[in-house]
Amino acid sequence: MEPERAPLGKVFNVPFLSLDGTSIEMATLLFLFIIVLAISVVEKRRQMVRRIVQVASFLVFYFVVYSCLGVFGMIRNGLYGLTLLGTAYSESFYWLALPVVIIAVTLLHGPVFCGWICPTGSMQDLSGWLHKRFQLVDTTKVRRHLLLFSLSSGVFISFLIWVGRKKRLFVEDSSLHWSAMLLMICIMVLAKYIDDKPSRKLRLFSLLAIVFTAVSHMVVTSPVHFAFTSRDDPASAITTLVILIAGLFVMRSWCRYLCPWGYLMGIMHRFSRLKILKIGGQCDSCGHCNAVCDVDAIDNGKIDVASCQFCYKCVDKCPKNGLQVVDTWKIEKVSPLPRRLIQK
Amino acid sequence: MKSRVRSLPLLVLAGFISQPRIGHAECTLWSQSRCDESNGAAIDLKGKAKADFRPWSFEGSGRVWGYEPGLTTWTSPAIAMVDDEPIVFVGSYDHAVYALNAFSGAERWKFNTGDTIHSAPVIYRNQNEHIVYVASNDRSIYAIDAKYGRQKWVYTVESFRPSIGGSRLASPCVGNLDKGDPILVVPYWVWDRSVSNGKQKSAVVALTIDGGAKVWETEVSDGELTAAVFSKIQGTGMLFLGSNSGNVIALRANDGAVVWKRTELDAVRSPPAIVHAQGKDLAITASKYGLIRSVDALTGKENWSHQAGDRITGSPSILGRKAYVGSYDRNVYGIEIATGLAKEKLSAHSGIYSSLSVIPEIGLVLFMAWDDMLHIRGVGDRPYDIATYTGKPLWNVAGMDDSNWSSPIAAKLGDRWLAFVGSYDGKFRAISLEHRDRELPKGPSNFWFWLSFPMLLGPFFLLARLITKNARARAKRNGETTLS
Repeated sequence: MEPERAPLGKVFNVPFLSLDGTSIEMATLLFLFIIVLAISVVEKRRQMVRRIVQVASFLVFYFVVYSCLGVFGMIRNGLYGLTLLGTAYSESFYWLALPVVIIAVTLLHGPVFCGWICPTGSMQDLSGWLHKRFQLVDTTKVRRHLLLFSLSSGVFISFLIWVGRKKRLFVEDSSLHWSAMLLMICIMVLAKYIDDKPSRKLRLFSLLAIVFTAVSHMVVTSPVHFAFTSRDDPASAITTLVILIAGLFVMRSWCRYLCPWGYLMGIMHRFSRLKILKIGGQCDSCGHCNAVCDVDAIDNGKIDVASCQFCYKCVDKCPKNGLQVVDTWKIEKVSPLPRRLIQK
Repeated sequence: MKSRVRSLPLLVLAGFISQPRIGHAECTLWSQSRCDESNGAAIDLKGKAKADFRPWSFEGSGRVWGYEPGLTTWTSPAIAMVDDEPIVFVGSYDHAVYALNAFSGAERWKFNTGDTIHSAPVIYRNQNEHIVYVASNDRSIYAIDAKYGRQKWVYTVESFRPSIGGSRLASPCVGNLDKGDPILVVPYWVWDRSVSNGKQKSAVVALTIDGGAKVWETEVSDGELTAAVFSKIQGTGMLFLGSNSGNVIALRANDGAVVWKRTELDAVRSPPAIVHAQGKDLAITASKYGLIRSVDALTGKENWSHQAGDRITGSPSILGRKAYVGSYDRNVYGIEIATGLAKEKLSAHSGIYSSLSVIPEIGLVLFMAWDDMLHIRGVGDRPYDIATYTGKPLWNVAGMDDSNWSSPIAAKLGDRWLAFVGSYDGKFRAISLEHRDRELPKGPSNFWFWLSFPMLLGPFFLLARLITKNARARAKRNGETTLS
């Protein structure tokens, strides 16, 4: 009787259609944050809970979220909400609410959005698991990686040509540019033509590009955006696929080199209340934390706050309990001395 | 085997007879918001052929009062032949109704009302005189002489008081009482923002065509109402309308009594289409939930439903054996009225927000989409696909789903089919649907998109290399060994 429905994967989102334009997205993400904040203090099986939260957040993004809440969309929405301040307060609140909540939580609790909730990050964790499972980390097999990667790039270009023949591509499909940049940067890193750590500054370039497009009233759809809506968005789907493939070779490569929201989170993390710090003298530089960190944000207990995603893996895996989450605001308040002592 | 072959013509004949007979009256006078009960929004004016047609646009007063949510820049137009001159009537955000020569775009007259006009005008021929009826958000319904733009009468649905918050008057509709007397029906929604007397009022009022005297008024306790559609259902005049609260309401035209009311899952933003098929009278409704439903026009009982991929804000339109409706999921669905099966799907680049105009004579559908284009597509096997750019919105803040912006209409003048549409860039446009009047559209080109790849990747490559080079130099200066 009703042969042409929404795609099968979206079949459960029909009841949520009418919630579009309401604050349901805000409510569900706040709920996720509350779960994360509550669970992060419980050390037992924290990583298992993190996986559950990641799956739940992906489902929320897939079925409940309809606004452009991708990594690009949140920046664009935030800027748009700012322009409405003073004229349309309720609308301004609607657009600003999510970016403001995520920034506020980051200031209070570190960038848990990146490590626990972000759907792009969750997908890359899946690639990361495959990366480790098939031992793609073996740095001696660089040539094999490059070959595989070149093949992936070939598939990407073929996809691009196929889509370009089928449809007219607009500015909104420019996430394809980001996928091309990601492929290029991963190949360059694997070939050791550029270095991993300094290249993370490229996220600023990505952020500026998104801000530029937003103030120019151009809309660039984010990766994973195709999953939020039931609209046909092959550019976003291809970019998501590229992120997944790139994650097989360089773990969380999108977060490392191109995520504009991740760059903002890194800045916020510098001022955040909670930070992961080396406690006392327990750390014997065994390198366990280096091995578990997906974004290489730690070097024998010394954390790069601009890259850390607050996944707690290093804290949970440290055999000496040398790393702990510390309330830095509290320490400052009591006396500046203990903090310096702790950092030693 | 032989008997089977013999019975084949009989089977074919039986199949032909059993096909649903679907009919609706051809629109001859624009007396309803989308011309007639089938929401076809296309009319053959049977005028004389003119010289070459040139597309035109009209900007009105050009005054922009400012953005407000739900704003409609231009209303959907109405068109009629007045004293051998094709005149298109259209209401505007600048509070005025304009009468324009449909062939040249020349302004015949302008009539100012007290507030913005969101709803389509309608036309009625009273003896030898054409009268235009328009509902303005100043809570008044105006009857205007179509030839000279003079006011015949005015009726105010709610008198002014300082605490009046605002109003939305839907498009009028001409119907008949049981005795045959014509009436003008206007659904409206008025709200009062005073603390002591805060209220909303949703009602449908019926007025006499000649003098604007009230015949009946029915409060429906609802939100913003759509235009009403009048149709004779088994000899009884009935009115069908939707509401922003998600109700589809059927009223008896004779006394305004509510015959049935059914609740949809989301807002109903445009009136239903009425079709008479297989001895049944059906109302085809569509809601923002994306559900297209066929209900019995007499009882409101569901016949079938079809779920589109996204919300629907326009009206369904009847063309042949199918009901066509556009959705935000970028498709126009051609749904078989008898079965509810989506037999046809026309895809656009962008979500479709408008009601459709359907032209049975040449098998075309017209609709507006979020790519800022008027799309003209052939149905069935007709190879016709034109999209005309109609400009960017005047207000950046106006987003999807914010407004029910203007829907296109079509009219045949001489031997030409023309399309008229008020675009949200502040202009009202007329274009020809004839190939001889327009160049064939060029195929899509992605040249600039492809070119942008090397233009972006080149500097990005250099930047990445520069950052690493600087970092390596710094590390060398500081005596560090590794960076990556």
